[in-house]
Amino acid sequence: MRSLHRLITLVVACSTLLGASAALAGTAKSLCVYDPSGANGDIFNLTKDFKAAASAWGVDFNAKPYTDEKTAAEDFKAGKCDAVVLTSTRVRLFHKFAGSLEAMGAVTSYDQLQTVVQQLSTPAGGKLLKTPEYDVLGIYPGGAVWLYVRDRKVDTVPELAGKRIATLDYDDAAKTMVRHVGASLVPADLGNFAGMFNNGSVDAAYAPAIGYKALEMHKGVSKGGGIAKYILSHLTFQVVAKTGAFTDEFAQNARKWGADNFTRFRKVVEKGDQDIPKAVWIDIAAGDKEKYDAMFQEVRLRLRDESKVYDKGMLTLLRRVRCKAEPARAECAEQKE
Amino acid sequence: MRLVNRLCALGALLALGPGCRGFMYGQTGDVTTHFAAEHVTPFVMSTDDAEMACASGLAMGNFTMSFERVTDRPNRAALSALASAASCAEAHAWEAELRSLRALRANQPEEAQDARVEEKRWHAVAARRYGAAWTRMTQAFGTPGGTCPTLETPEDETLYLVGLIAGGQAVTHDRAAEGQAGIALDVPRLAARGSECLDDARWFGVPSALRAAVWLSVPGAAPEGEDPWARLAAAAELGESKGMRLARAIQIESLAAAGRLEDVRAAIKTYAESREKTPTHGAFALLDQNGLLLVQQMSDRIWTRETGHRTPLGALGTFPGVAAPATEDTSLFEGLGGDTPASAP
Repeated sequence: MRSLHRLITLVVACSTLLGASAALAGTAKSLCVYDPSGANGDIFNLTKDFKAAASAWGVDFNAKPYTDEKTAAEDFKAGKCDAVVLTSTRVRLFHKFAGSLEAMGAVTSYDQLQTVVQQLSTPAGGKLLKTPEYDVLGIYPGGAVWLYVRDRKVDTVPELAGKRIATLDYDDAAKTMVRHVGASLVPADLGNFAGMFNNGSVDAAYAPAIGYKALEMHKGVSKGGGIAKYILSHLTFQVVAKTGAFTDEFAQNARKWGADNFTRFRKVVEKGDQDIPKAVWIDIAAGDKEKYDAMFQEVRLRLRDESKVYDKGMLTLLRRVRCKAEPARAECAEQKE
Repeated sequence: MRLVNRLCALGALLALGPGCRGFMYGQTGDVTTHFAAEHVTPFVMSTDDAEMACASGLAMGNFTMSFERVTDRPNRAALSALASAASCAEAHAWEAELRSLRALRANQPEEAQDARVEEKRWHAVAARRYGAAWTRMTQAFGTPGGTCPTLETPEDETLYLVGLIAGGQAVTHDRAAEGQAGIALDVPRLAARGSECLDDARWFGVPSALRAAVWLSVPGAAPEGEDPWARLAAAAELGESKGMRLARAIQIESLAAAGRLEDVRAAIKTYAESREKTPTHGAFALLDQNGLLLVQQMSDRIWTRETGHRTPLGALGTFPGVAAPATEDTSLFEGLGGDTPASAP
């Protein structure tokens, strides 16, 4: 009888120990990370911090770097990764609401972007990020997107007519805008657009400030070119998972962690803007800015209603955030978005 | 012909007898130690690499000090080298302290105990080195307390200030090491008196901060009518306005010692904001960097206690649990359902 009692005690002790070690190890999950610089890039570096935080919530991520975004997205879609880090442009193909955060002209400052990310990290915001198919586990700033031109005399939209603009071939929104301004669309991808700009194959290209040095786009602006000081959109990197792959609690923790650390990552991308020499910037007249704001809104509405590229809910959210920051904007009374 | 050359060389060597070598050593020693005090110290002060300064102190300290066997005691050069070497031991003590905090948090008492022992050992090393730097300062300029020494050059003033700081640090580390180094307890008050010999505005508020910190740590040391906390605050602001923030670091250390933890957080935040706004003063970058390391350690203690890790990069001035997302603004979400998600590519 005593031996049986001991045996039972031993079995209970062993199962407790096994259970404890399983809890310590966490659930293994794979994370595919798109970073143009691979494992040495800022985004992959960020995911190392995310991985460390996730281990405290019971998930042990195995992160794999991808230098080709399309492959990362395809591997995610094929079920090779439980979650993926992609640019918002690519995210839009999976999750229209979250991907529409980078809608053109819709977020006019880093403060506004931070407000949106913080609000979406709250439980109410989190509900908007969960669809039957996909759940967004975090949004990180990738930098304001600027227009780089090889000739700084091209400083108004009418002057873009007929100019060749490198355009990401999967970015339907950008294609619509390029056509809207009467420019000539030159298909490009993230791997070749900077080279096309630098060697003169195109007259203009759009990219965050990090492209200035890292992609050597300073070469393209060095002979009389410049960068228009008007935020076209905000690039973001987002962590997308298949709904159900993670618990709601984990998803909420992950979003909150991203929002809590937003300022840190914001500083990195803002430094990129600050590092661009003053002489390179092309100031846009205040009157022109208002005209462009109206033009961008017109294109956004078309992309929402006709092309179905942008999400209606996200555009409304972004309009509300803009109007909280600047209540005097004309659009605040019109409420078209 | 070769043989003749060899004989000549031998003759020259014999002529250079012990007396002649002693003369040459002495000359070399004078030149080296003067160069160290007059050029190496100001140069190192203008660099912002505290790790390299610490390594220089370790590598060059004994070599420089050994010249006292052949010429005058090189007190000025030794003071600088010893203070730098002490900063290495200080960094080790801080690392061990963080290890101990992590172990406590992880409920690993043996690891925590081991880290505490290591921490105390390094505190003792730091105390001895800072104590030796203080002694060299008193040998070079006289023990503070009487009339002020004649500080002829800016380098003299720098060394005097470093010596005073070393005195204060020696006692702090020795207390943390349970008195293993045997640093005299009157050193802080002497350092406080010595600080009156330096122009507070010229030295970024450090002399008055040092004085006020001593007043706060030694019961009854504050003169009648003096408010040490107000002094510290004024000194910290003065230093921040000029990009040399050691006085703020001293204030934060005093606040932590007094258990004013909310004020510590507020001061670290102010410090971090100043680093964003005001560039480091070029000539005294190392002192500003030493201030940063001290403030960073204070911040790391808070982060480690609460999260198990030190201050994340770029997060100095923020604290765990404080950066919670903004209050939910439901007005932004009213009526938003989103569209049907696009089908995946």
